[in-house]
Amino acid sequence: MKNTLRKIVRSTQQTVEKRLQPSVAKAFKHAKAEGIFDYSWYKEHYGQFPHELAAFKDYQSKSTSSNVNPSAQFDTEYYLRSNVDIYLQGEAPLTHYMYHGRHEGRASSGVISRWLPASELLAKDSATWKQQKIAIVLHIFYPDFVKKFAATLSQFPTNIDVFVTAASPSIEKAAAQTFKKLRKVNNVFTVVSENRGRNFGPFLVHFGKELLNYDLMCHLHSKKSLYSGREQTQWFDYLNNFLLKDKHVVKSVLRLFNDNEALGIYYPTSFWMMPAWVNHWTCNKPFAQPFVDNWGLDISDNFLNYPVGGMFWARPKALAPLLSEEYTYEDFPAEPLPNDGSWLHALERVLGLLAEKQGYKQFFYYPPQGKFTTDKTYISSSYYKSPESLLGDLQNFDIVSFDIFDTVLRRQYIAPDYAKLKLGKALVKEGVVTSAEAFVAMRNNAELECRKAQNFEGDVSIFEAYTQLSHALNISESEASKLAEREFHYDLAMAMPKDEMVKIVHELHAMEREIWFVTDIYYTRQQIEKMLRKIGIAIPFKLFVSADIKKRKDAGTMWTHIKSLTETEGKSFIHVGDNVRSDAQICGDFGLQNVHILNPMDKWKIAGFDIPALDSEQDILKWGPLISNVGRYPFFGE
Amino acid sequence: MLKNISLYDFGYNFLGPVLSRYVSVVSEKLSQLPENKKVFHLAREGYALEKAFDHVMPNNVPSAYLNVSRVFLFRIMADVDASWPLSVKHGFSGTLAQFLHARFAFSQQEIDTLVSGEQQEKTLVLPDDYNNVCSILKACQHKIRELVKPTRDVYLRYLDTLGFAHHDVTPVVLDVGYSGTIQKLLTLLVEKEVHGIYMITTQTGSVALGGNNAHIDHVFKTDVKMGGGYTLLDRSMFLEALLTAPNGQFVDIIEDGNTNTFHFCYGKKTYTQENFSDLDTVLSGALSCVEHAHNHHIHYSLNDIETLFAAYVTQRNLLPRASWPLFVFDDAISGEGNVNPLSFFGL
Repeated sequence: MKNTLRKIVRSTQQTVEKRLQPSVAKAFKHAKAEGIFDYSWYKEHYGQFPHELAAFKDYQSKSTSSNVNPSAQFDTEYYLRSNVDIYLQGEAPLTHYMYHGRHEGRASSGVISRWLPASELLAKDSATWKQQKIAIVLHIFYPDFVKKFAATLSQFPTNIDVFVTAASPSIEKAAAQTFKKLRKVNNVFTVVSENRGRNFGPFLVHFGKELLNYDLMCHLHSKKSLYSGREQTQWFDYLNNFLLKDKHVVKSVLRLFNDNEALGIYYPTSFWMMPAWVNHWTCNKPFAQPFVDNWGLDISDNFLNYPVGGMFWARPKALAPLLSEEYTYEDFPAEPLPNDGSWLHALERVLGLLAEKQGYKQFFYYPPQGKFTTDKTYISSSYYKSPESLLGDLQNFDIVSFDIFDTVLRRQYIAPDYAKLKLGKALVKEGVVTSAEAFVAMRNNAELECRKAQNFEGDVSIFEAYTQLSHALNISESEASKLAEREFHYDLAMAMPKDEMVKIVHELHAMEREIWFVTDIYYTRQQIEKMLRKIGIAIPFKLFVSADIKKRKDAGTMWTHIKSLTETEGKSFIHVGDNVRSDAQICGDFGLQNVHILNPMDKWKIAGFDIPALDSEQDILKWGPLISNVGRYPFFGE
Repeated sequence: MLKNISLYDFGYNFLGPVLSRYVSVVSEKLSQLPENKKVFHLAREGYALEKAFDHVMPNNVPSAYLNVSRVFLFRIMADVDASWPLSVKHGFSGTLAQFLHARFAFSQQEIDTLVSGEQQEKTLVLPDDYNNVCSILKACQHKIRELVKPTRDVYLRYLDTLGFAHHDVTPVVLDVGYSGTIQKLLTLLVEKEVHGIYMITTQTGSVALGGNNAHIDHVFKTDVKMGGGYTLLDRSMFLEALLTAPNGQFVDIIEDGNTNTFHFCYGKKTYTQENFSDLDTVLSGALSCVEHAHNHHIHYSLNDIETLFAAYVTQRNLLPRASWPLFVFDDAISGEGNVNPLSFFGL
């Protein structure tokens, strides 16, 4: 009887909503008839809804910012990535596809499996999950976010206390008045913050210790970016959806925390429209040293799991070393802060590591699958790309530039110093040196000495390094020069193509794209040409070698040079490389388009393997080929 | 997609370390066995094992590929009481006729000569009806013997030509695993001690069979059961799908009338067997790893191979697209037909 009544109410509700929103109802009717919106599929992935139209509206609302899918027939992320104008205009992708996109021949696809969590956390109901003491911690810089947060909090499933750090007295006043009226809000604590410490500083200064009295805390902050002259809030909307707004997700998060004491911090997987390398340390490791010293964190990995954007749920005791400290605003770096590379950027990155160090696990929500998991390999989903898709991305540019080592060329045994070690072993046999390892150290030190002598400006060639080494080895410069050639030939012998990448180079050339190679390396231009020939690149290209032209990518001098050339030629340009800093971030800082590909070591690590030390020849021979094979194609989706 | 390099590199990483550890430990274990030993690589996984074995010990120990299958041995020994605990006890549900066909590969015509039409329709559930089935087999034991003995005699002569049945040879069988049914049946058949060294076993140790022992040993793990959480066993379908000979299941043997040779008959081929060049490329990569490891004294620990295996069989995107069609294999004993582990495990 109760169920029948519920069905009648829901059906009536749906009928009323259809009449009130005829355009949505029409889109729903079309999408359902064509099977591109599948109610059963959607419920299976994203929870229960009162009726079909409610589920459709849920999808429409989320899909402007989030990579949820309406059915197996339509991949939201693929459509928005392929048609960035739709993303930037904030249009609902499925409606656009149905009414316009497919008639305009825009790219679309059925659901793509970019990543599948190896394990799944299932939320269980219990009598206690609503009893958890919860603090919602908001930092509000933009006044319009007061209403936005209030709308979300009014739907929150349990009672909460709200802590607000406001950028101005007027925001503080509005927040206090608005949040106090909300049914689920027990207490509201507000302060006006100083413009220092971005979103973290204010709550650490004012509320840090107090938060330790709660079972759970959730931190969000108002976030906008300007792009194409329009305010973009998709990143915030994505995080807000899966931290505070989506009832199914929020209830599941609270239940999972309640049911599993080992879970310490939660956030949705990194925003899908960020650069693929967003989970990399980039230039922030030096700023993380205090956290290593004080908390004993291990920051040796290049990629890491952290709440990108600084918004998360946590068990305060999992962050106790951070929250229990006494802070003043002076503890935080003053504005203006750089876009990247600061103590605050490092702090954002260590939150997950801190929770783990405290003995807790991180868990995540992956919207395309609608699953919670502790599987940290989700980073690989940002690096899912088939060779065909990569070619498609690159063919839109007049000039396509490639890094060389670990981009189009791989070393059989991965370790860059193995050629030096091989030479060292040969020199031991010849009685020139007594230890191969000591030779490698001397050889590298000679190169460093040359760099020091040049105040780390420009670059050093292998011949300059060996001239320097000749003093230590007590050999003539011409003998040193021969050793330099021998080292090169050991490396040449181990150079292999990254086959898919070499094929893409050839295909781009066949499409009459200009091919450039840009590399930071101590080899000469002639040596690099030999290497490229060995790996099967036999097309015309322009070659920029740092040791040859004394400009480097990592110093930015190479990119200044490249940028001026592309501007002179008036051609579009894109660069492909494996180094997050020099090939992607710094390149991008110069306004140059780029595609970051995975270094073999990083791909190996992201796939879930431990990085071997590679400090002995046995280890190099054992692990080198395996890593080289995994890294041959620099994305997942080979 | 560059199929060849993709499959080669995948073979190096996925199969290479597994084969390398297996054959290197096997070579250590063989050194503990009697001098007169001869190694037999059991069909069909033995195709790859033989090649890996030859890389590590080309001349030290004689070895041969052995055409064999559980169903074939069940059939040619269906009249031997001592074989029934091995052939009949395995789970089954259906009519007696279906059982005789599925387990012993008897044709309908043969079944008609063994049991009445009424008996054929009787339903049975194994292992619960084990004694009942044994009574039925006992009742028609002579008729069964007439059917199977000629083939058994041919197979024994085949075993003799390989040296397996020779009195001064100690046969050692190599295979992936698990309970050593084929080894046990061979022990009964040739009436002598047979050793077996497997990757994984359900139980390592010696089993007495008709007055002789089957000595079962393992390289990776023992005392594990399917579904018990040991990934190498639970997802061994991925391994078995790749470790296969180019032909289907061994079903019969015919003696050539003019020479002292034999004709081997095989069943339906899987996709992988029909496209064997792809599988051969995977195997080439794996063997390159085995050779490299052997030449440079590289040892993969059990933890190394378990970690590598687990990563590949739980992450769809680590398995190259070119390899996906290869993960199909036929599971004759369970009667499940062709199984694709990618679908089976929801990858």
